[in-house]
Amino acid sequence: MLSRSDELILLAVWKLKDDAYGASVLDFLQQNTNEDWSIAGVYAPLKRMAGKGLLLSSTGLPTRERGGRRKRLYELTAKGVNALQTSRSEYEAMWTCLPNLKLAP
Amino acid sequence: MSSPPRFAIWILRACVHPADRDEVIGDLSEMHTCFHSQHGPKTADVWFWYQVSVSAPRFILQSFAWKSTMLKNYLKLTIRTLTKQKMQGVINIAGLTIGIALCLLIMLFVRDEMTYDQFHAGHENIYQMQDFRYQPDGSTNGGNSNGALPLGQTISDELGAVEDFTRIWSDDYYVRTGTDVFREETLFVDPAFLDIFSFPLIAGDAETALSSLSNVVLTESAALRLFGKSNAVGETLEIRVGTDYQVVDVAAVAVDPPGNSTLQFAILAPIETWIPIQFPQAVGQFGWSLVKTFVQLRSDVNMADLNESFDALYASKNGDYLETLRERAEYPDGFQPATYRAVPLTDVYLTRYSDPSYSYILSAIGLAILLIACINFMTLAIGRSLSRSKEVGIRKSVGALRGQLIGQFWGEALFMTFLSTVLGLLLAFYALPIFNDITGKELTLSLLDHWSIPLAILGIIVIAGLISGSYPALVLSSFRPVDVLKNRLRVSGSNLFTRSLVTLQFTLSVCLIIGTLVMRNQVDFLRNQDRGFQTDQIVIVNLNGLDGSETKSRFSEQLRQESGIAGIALASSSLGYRGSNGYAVTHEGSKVNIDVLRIDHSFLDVMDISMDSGRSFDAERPADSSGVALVNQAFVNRFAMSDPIGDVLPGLPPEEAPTVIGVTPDFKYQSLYQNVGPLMITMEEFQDYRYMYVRLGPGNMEGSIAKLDNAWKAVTADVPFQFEFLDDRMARVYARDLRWARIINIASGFAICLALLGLLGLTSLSVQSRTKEIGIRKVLGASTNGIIGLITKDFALTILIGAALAVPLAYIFTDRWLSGFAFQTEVGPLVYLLGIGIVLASALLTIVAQSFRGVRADAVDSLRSE
Repeated sequence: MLSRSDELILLAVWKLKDDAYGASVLDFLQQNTNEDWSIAGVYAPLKRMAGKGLLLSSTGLPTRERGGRRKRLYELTAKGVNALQTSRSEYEAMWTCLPNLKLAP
Repeated sequence: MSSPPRFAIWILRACVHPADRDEVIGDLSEMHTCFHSQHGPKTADVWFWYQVSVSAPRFILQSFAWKSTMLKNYLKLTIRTLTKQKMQGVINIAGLTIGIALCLLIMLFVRDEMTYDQFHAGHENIYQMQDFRYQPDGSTNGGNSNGALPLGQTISDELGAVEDFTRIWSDDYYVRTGTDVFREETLFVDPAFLDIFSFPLIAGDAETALSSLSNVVLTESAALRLFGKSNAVGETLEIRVGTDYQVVDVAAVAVDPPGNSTLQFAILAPIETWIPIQFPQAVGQFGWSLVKTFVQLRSDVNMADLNESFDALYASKNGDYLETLRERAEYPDGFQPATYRAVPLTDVYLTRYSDPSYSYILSAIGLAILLIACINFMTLAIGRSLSRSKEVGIRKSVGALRGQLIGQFWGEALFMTFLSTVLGLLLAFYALPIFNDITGKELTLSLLDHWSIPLAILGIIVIAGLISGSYPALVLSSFRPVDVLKNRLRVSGSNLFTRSLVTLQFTLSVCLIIGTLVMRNQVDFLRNQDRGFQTDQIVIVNLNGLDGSETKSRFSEQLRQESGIAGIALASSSLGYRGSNGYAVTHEGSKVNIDVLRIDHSFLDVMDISMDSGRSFDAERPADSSGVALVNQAFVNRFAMSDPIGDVLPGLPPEEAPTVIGVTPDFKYQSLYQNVGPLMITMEEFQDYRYMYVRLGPGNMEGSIAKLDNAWKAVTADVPFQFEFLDDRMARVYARDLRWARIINIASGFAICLALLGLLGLTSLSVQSRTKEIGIRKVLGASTNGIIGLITKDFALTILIGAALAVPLAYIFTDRWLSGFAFQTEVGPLVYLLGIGIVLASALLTIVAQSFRGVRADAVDSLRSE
């Protein structure tokens, strides 16, 4: 089962397609969630999920803004996509069986 | 492009694993640039710092997690190699365990020696006063710690640097509670004793404990012995000072002095009760050397100034003595040949009671054994290196850095030493009683006693680990993977490095074995030395201040009817003991010490000493009791007396000098450390009779002793019958040498065992790596003996060289040790050959036995393998 932050990171990678690496994932998450993300908080799950086979990592080209340092690009594997879809269908199943959410009177 | 803060980058560098470093710093720099262009440099830097500070701890944790994965891998590998090569594992761990255990024990010993008397609070300000004789070139033979009675009071009155002082007289005294008599080690001291030294009281008040003349302080164990309870305050006992018992009260009970205290006692008593009885004539006199004086100096004392004051004080109090010294020898003007010096308490033990060289020798032995164990580890690792080199090649080709390999191999060695240290601690714990027995100490192994012990153990682990792992870590890790994997590399178990290590091992073990043999020879030689007098069947009885002649006559009276007593005699000293009393005369410009022995007329008969010339003392001639003396042959030679009989003794004023009536042979009246010197034997009252010599006839020894005991009880009830056999008493002088012979003996046993273990491992490796060769040789018709010879030859030369190197080394050490004895055993080449022979024989046996198995294996199997 994926944790919430894992799920969000996987989604970000999916969304970013060919340009998913540490900085872009962090940036994307900062823009689209209300939470504070640290760079280490992104790396650890990325590496862990790459180890599990949900992500595939490859070395990208160095750019000038990076001070000539290489980046590590990530892309979703089939297993990663499956995991996301499983997670989504679980969520949907859980939500459909609930009555409408109302604020307490 | 903007540049992020350098220091923040440096922090990232430090905490991110090298493999991820580029990526992380790159990402952050990129975002920094982005912020820079959107919000300006300040916001970008603040954001960067925020990211670094939040992420750094997590990166550090991650890198640990990564390392621990590798660590798990290394550990797994270490255990696999251990189980795969069981014999080598056992050899390595057993060797290191023994080496470490021994090192630990020796460390305890050395620490005990070096921390003597340091438990006293303010020990750095406590000094012992000593008399030093100096030569004009500044040399001295060491100080005399016995000083005059008024010395303490005088320096404390006249020198501001002296805060407090105590005099100490120590001896065994008889103590009576009711009808039970005990012999207790007693110190007569000044009241300041308990202030200066830290002997805490468990009962009583330190202020008043010694203030009254009728008070004494007991130690806890003495209180238990005497009264059966540890709080004996308020009890009374009797103590025999001089010839009478005095009644005293127990005012306090102190904790027993620790084992590493120079001052050992069971009873403390005020010195003022002792002086008037035993040495009234010495009160206020500076000429007497009697008591030890300890002073407490101010902590800001200037030693140079103090020494000057000592010089002046000495000159004013001992003027006559300085005059005599100056008359005897030519000294430069203004040179003072004798003076007082304050010797730090913590130096007193090592300079007067022990010898720091023993600590050095023992440390060297411990290190030598640990080194042998480490060498085993190294040589076995080298022997294994061919198979290990494959691992190195593969690790390197999949990306291991050299640093990681070094870390792995050293880590492996450290793991082994750690394991061995745990086992070694256990071994040391169980071997401690034996070690205490051998060294005569009371050491305890408690790890948390002092911060230095865990630190030292850690030190042993690290040093032994680094030494043992150095070869694989530094050499194996340097192999180039291509060479290794293409089998281009040739590492053999018999390279020069291995050979020299094995040589070193055997040099050390042969050295220790020869040392053992020489020491044993010398101790045997001393034991069987012909002293020139009867040593068997002689019981020596301490008179403890009783009048000798009267006691002897009453004692003989009691024993008149008894058989089994061959003779009774009196003498002023105990034969065969170190040191003797005497006087010095000047003969032809040089000083000659003459020892004096006072005997009674039956002594020479009882002791079987016959005369060389002249006659002995005669009971029928009362005139013999004064004015005549016997001398020994050494005396005659020293003073070049051509016709000694009838001459007066040289060097004394003619009206006092006795006439020589006979010459005895040179019987060895002192210990065998000393040569036989000029001896004068007299019946005059130069000294008191202190010992009664009883010669037992043949037959039931215990029965005879019981008779003596009964007779003694009839003579005196004051003093118990305290006796010893003369040969036992003389052997006690050499107890320390005997102890050292045993220590070296055991150490050399360990050393040789460890060296042989290593050899065992090496042989099996050698046979293993030559399996194919042996198989082919056998197929071609080589005999088993031939092949064993081939393997043996490989090692035999190495060991022989080691043994040969040991000979000069052993010679230097044993020669120095032997030079301490006046009577030395002959150390012929036989001892050396024997030492080498023992080691060589056991080494060859090991090799042959180990290779036999490998060689006997079926050639077909060994050729078909792989």
